[in-house]
Amino acid sequence: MVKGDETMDWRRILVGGMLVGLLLYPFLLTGSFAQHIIIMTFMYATLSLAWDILGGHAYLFSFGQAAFFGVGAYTSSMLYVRLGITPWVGMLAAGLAASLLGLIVGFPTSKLRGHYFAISTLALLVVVQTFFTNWTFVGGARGLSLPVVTKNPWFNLQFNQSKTNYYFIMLGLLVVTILTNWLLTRSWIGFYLRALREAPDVADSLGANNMLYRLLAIAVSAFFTGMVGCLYAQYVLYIDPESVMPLDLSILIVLIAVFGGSGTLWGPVLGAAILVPVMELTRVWLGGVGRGLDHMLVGLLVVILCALQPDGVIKLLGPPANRLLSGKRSKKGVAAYGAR
Amino acid sequence: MGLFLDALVNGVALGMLYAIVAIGLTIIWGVMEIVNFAHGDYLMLAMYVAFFAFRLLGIHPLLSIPFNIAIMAVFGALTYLIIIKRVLKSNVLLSQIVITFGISVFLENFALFLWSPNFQAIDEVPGLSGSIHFGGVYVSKTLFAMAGVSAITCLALLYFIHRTTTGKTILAVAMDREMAQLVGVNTKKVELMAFSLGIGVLGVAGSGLIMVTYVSPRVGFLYGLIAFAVVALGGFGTLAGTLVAALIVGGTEVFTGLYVGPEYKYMAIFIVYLLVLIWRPKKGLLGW
Amino acid sequence: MALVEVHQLTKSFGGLVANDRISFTVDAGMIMGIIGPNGSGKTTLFNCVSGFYAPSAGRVLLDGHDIAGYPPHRICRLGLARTFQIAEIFTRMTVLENAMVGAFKRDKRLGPAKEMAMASLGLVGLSSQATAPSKRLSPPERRKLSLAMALATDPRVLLLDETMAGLLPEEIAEILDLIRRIQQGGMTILLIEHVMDAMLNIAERIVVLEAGKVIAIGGPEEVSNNDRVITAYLGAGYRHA
Repeated sequence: MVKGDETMDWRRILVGGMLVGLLLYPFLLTGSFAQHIIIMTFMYATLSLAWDILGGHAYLFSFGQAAFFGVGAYTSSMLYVRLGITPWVGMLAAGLAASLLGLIVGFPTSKLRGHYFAISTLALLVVVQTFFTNWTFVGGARGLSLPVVTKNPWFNLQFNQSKTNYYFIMLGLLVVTILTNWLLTRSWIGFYLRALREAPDVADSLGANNMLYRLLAIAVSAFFTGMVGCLYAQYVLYIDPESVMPLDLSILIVLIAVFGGSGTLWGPVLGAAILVPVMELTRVWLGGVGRGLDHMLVGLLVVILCALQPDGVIKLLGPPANRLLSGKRSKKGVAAYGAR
Repeated sequence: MGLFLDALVNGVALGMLYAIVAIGLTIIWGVMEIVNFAHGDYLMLAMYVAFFAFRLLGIHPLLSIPFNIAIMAVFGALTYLIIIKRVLKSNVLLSQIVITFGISVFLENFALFLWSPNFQAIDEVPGLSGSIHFGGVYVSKTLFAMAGVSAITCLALLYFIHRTTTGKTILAVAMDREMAQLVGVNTKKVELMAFSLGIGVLGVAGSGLIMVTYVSPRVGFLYGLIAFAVVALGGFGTLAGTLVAALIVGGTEVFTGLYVGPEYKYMAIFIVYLLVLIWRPKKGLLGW
Repeated sequence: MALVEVHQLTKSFGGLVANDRISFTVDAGMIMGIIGPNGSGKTTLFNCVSGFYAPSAGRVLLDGHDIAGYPPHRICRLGLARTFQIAEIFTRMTVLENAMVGAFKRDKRLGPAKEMAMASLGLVGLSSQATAPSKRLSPPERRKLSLAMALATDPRVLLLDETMAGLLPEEIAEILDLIRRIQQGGMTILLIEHVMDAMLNIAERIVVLEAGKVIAIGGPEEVSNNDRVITAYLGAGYRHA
């Protein structure tokens, strides 16, 4: 068992180092852009993890996540702008609104799987986006501006001096999402979802209600996506259907999750950690000349990866690192967890 | 009445065009079980090919068709050989879905990079300016030409698939791959042909469409999505069914644009699509 | 005391009547067999009873409660579990995880579920394989796992779908023994079986189906000497004393 012990030490040092790094980062690199990159990374990591609850566990490939994101952003922003409700409450409302949309949408599509489900989520996104673009109550195509406020930054969830607080809030949300994902995987819900996707009849006969768990997965995925939408609105202070519900966003979320490694705990995080900085840096370094290059690079990387290693970058790092990072239980399976 | 007829003709013309795009998709799906989410973006490329052929070389869009078909077929072949073939081997469904999205994102942004996000259009197509006037209906000549070319292509495609040996081989692989292999069909070659054909016909659609509307890097995805809707509706299992569905979709788009409002025309298509999907989830989609 | 009662169960698919007014009763603690030539409607019957088909007419009573048309997961909660003939386990999970899926019906917590799953595995003799990936199991082991999964839900009635198919004689004997032990624990069992020896060996009463109808119900002796049954299986020329 010496090897195992060594691995444990390694793991502790690595994890400890990363944690410290994460906590100190905004204080060490105070540049606005440097912080922006990581904030975006956290955001996409959270979104991709939320997607993976559906995609990696239930094998429901949703390309409509942007609808949840947008609905979340609009819900909290409208509550704030029209009723003065603090975005913290708005964030919860955003999550709930997105979940509600998810349930409404999940019900009729409950028999669909694979490609069919994917395409219907695309269609739904278009419908929702068109709806919002023509809905004058929320500003239609012109969007919604959030007022710039300098007092009570915590109540208004708005920090104008520096991005540090945004950093930590986004990180917090990411951590919560990671935890949720982890708990879901090892819980009976995770078991049922995996059983349902593999042999739905057998799962059904053992007491797993397909509709129920499917809707649950959708609701949870939508909830977190909606919350991130709220945070995003508070970060950029302007939203419109084009920016918070674009197809691009939906696709990007999926690309990131798959690139990193769908179905694993750290895959989506890894995917975001690689692709988001690549995108942001490309955009900045090449400026106007390089328009489109950022996404182009992502597209290219994803294509290459899918062709060569469909299980994601996380598999590329090899078995020991894989076990370290993928959050997979030891080779003995989840059963080992139960051992006390 | 005039408006109605006008819309009808427009709808049919549009439907013909959608049929080409949808048939290409159906062929690829039928043979390889890959949904090419980048299909619309290849259409966008074809439109740019026709556009630049006109702008830089003075080639009339109609004349550029053969050239466009050839270029697109080559693109298709390359895509298949370099990318699709590999991902088919891996057999991971998610990768197969995602890889064509990756291609789509790549192509769109490549176009963005090369040609800017500006809308570009051919203002006047030589020999086809103005409209034809019959029975109280005004149809622009370019639209008419596009419809005509699309119709001819559709019929040619149907003929090819159902009447020629090569076409029937493709059909056979789509129907029952194992059986086809057992009788000695080289399915890899058929896949290559199918993909090249599916993308190649977009050459016609590209040249046709550029006569009628503008092109920009983003234009592609929407047409792609509409093509999915068409294939979903037309999943009666025949290409002819796809043609009928395309006409219905074209009609829905135009009539919604006319009577409800242009902002809602796509929404209408997708709502119809979703309803069909929900009511007949197994048969209704991409059934070959 | 009747635990499962099927009254005039009918199931049609379009013009085809797969189950035609089938009626029989299964007493608690009994092992009841269902036999019949291919196409006689056995699987359809099973599917109607376990919730995969909704009967066109008739009733299915579980402990007096009509469950006809209920979805499988609801029927499972009411105490009826079944096994499947093909694709009967979750090949991407370990043996223990497979059983846990069943166990979660009783307790959603990881610890207790694991214990209950281990107990089920113990009953069928797969304890030593608990942590093995289930796709490595041999066919008889798969059948046992499928049984364990159903048992983990703590049912009162167990439906077994051709558990012996494709097994060697020793393996069949093992499974028969297992089934008897399960019955001794108080289980009511309904099974479909093509392997006639096994069926005659273990069933207390047998329902014989032909073309969707019941043509005989009785003990193994009775049924195997029944003219109609013999004709149904072997054709008119094979009647014997």
